[in-house]
Amino acid sequence: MNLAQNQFRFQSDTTLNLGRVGMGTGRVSNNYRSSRVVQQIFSTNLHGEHELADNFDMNWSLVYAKADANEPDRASLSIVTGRTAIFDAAGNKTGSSQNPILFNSTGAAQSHVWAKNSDEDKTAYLNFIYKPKIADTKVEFSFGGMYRDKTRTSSYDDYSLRLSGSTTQTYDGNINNNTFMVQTVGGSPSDPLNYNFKEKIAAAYAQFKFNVGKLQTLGGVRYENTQQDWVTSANINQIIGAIGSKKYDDFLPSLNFKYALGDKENLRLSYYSAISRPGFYELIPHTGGDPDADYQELGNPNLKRITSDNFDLRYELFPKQLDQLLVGVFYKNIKNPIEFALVNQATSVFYTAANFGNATNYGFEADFTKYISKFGFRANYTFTNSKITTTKTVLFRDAATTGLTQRTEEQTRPLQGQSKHIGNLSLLFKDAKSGIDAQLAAVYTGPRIFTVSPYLDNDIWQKGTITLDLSAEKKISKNFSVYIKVNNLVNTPSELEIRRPYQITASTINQDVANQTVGENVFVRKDEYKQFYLLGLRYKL
Amino acid sequence: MKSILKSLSLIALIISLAACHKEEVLTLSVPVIQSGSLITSENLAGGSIKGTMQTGKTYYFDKDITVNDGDTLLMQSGVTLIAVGDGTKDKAPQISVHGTFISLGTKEKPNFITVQNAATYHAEANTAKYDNVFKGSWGGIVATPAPITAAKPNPKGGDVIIKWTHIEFPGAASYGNDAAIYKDGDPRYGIYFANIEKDFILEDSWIFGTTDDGIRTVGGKISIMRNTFELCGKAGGECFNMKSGTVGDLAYNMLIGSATNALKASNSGGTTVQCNVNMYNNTMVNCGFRQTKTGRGGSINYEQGARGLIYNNLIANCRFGLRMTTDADLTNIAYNNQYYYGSTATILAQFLASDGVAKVQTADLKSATAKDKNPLFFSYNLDQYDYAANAGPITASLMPAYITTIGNSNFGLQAISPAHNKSKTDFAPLALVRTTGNFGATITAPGNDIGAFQTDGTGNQH
Repeated sequence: MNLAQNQFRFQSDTTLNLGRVGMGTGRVSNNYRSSRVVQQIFSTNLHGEHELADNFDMNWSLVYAKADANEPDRASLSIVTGRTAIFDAAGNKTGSSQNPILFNSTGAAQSHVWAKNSDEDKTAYLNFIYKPKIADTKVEFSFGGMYRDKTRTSSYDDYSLRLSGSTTQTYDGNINNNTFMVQTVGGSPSDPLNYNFKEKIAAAYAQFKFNVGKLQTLGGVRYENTQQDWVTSANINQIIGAIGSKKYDDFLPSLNFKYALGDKENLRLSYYSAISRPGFYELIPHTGGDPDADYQELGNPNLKRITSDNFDLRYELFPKQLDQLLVGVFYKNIKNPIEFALVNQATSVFYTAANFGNATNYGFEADFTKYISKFGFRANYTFTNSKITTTKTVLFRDAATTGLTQRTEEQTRPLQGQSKHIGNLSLLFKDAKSGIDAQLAAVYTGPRIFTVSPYLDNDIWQKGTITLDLSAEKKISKNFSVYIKVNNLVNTPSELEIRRPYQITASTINQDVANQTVGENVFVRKDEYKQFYLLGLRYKL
Repeated sequence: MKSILKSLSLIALIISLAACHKEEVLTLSVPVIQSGSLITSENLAGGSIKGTMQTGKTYYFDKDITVNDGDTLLMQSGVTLIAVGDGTKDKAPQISVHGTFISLGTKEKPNFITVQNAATYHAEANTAKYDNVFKGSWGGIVATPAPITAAKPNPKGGDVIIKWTHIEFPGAASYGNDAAIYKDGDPRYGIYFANIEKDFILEDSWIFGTTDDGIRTVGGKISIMRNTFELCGKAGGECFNMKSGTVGDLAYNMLIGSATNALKASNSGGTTVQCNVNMYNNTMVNCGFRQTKTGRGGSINYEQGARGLIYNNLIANCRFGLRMTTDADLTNIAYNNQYYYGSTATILAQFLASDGVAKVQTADLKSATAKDKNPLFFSYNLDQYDYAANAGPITASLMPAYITTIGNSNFGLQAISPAHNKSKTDFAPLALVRTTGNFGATITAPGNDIGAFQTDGTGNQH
């Protein structure tokens, strides 16, 4: 598969304190960026099934996947300008004047980034299934293993160009009228984003399944050995973890009981242990790299995997085909959850993935589906009470010394990304005769922490959203069908806020900024994505 | 046989309780610390060194040199240390200090930390050719705590004590140098100091020609007295830029021709120690004109929670006067007795930067109209350059040497200068650094005359 994306982006920012004395004044930085990314994805697999004996089967798979992304020239241009207030003799603002449109002369005026990465994934699976009869009960034993070898090679070169000659050259829309010099003639060969990452996972499992009376028991254990190694081209005397390795073993048991209360209803009780590994990119000790990030990213080689113990109790009812009712409660004990947070380092704020401790999530969920003739209705709802306690900084003025200082406090909050309430409602239409299958779905995602702040009561929250999606498919012949998908029908914005009231203080008096309302939560960001339409033709062999 | 199934279930239960996640075995590369070798030759080998550079000798280094935690590198008087480099990749050595660095020049025998072509570059600067001055020929001095190791889990760094020393032409672009401080391609600072519990003493020294900030501190006890700063910042950058954790005094400094501010204090960086610096009796001339960005200062800036006392500074023909942004720690800033001179109406209009909140104080002196109230320097013509025609930003090549460097000028005050005896003297410096022994600071208290040069011969000695 081949995907090419061309992007052009223009961004204009006004700072809220530099040079600003109210609306229409202040420093403006204009950034132009263009890039082309070409991605190639290839995958293939080979699968075999063998009957070794009457009740003894074996199957295997070999999977190979390769993905490349090549961004040959992410070009950006940094322009600085601004409007300065004009005051009369009495000190009243009478207007503002436009400052010249110049190139950034303290950092790069232009930059050209070349980035390429290539992922390769080789996996082999081997499973044995043995179905003996023990005490007149059919027991299914299965066991097997998996070996996965994943590698990523990433190259990153950043050439920054500065103005040559005059540092006050104006930008008239054509950079051919300006003169530049390459500041980093050698590119950025010691950037840690030049790296090789290898991950080898060896897994083995054994499980059994049998029914005694109305009770089905499914249990087993999985063992996983993870070995990760990375080598970056960063200077090892400058960056801790320029070269690193990580290995760990996990025994992951699971046990499920399913008790048939009747023909159409079951009670399920399950426990499982799970892990989740951080991404390669999060581990590499890099700085920056994502031009879209609001804050510069920081890699975290100390990032630990997430481990969790999960308990579930669920009641299921299937009154008719397609109709169902599920009600359950759950409890999860999560060790070292990975959260995205802002951290202070030197004099800057960075965005990083980090472990802040342990969390518990518990709650209940309900799922209900009902069809009346061709029309169906589906609803589900999950309530999650999520808790993690972390240390936050409080900046305050010391009453005794009158100086500004800080202390830390513990604060309990939900996990980043976890909404307390998630629900969805769908209206379904299914008609086999006309071959129409349609669905209108409304999804509610409650407010959740978007980014964890280092400061008390300062986490960035994403507001709750209701999105509406429509999809329909019509069969037009035996092999052909047309389908349409419209996502985000009502153009639900993504809005970020800090849950403390916006105030006009001595230090924000000059901000005078749109979208902030005194007394309401501090507005951070709003993104609108508009509707997304997909019209397709499907051909089935 | 049912018992088999029962026992299977039981085993499964036991296994469930035995979920086991082994601790991760993490191996991260750490900096290789070689023990510091004593100086044995005038050609310093790269890597970790310690010891004494002896009086009268000239030393050379062409690779990064490091002073380890606990080690000291000392320059006796009359030592010249030459950074062999042109600022390109692998040819821009820096001095990384995790221990103590001392340069003990004297008035009679000052020290130099400079480059081989220094004479040429000075001659070029005198004819307003600044390409080499601002290109950054070497990497500067970076004083930070050593990397954390198992043996030294809480390194604090060491003191930097520099007296009567010329530091010239640093600022080369970084290539993987101190990624926590610089991105690749960023110009390095002349001196970067971030040892919050340690002393940084800079006295009677000269900083000449830096690509970005002459000096930046992110934490430390400072005493910056009687120095001369010329040509700091190509198109942005301060002479002396202080961040959170920096506490101390800056006085009797002569600062000319900086790109942005002469002195800037900000509490950004979030250490537990508030940036608290006193700036008094400094003279600033022709600062702020190369900065191309809107909303920057041109003489003294206090931003983002910084505090301190600001008295007796002489600010002549700077693009902006005192600028305190709305987020500075206004509760704890006191200021008065500033002397503002401007040769144009535009400069006059920004004596108190219009985007700041500083107000005229009772004991301030200032030009009422363009060229009014000349402070009457001994030998310097403040009205020679036409700032009316060049209100800023100005590219370096259009700035004649007489507005960017001291040259033969004398910024002492004539006997009839209005700046005489107009100072506030009833306050004390913070004086947080050691002041005893050879390595201690000599702190000069506030003087009677506004500016760095005092009629009684105290203050700046250059």
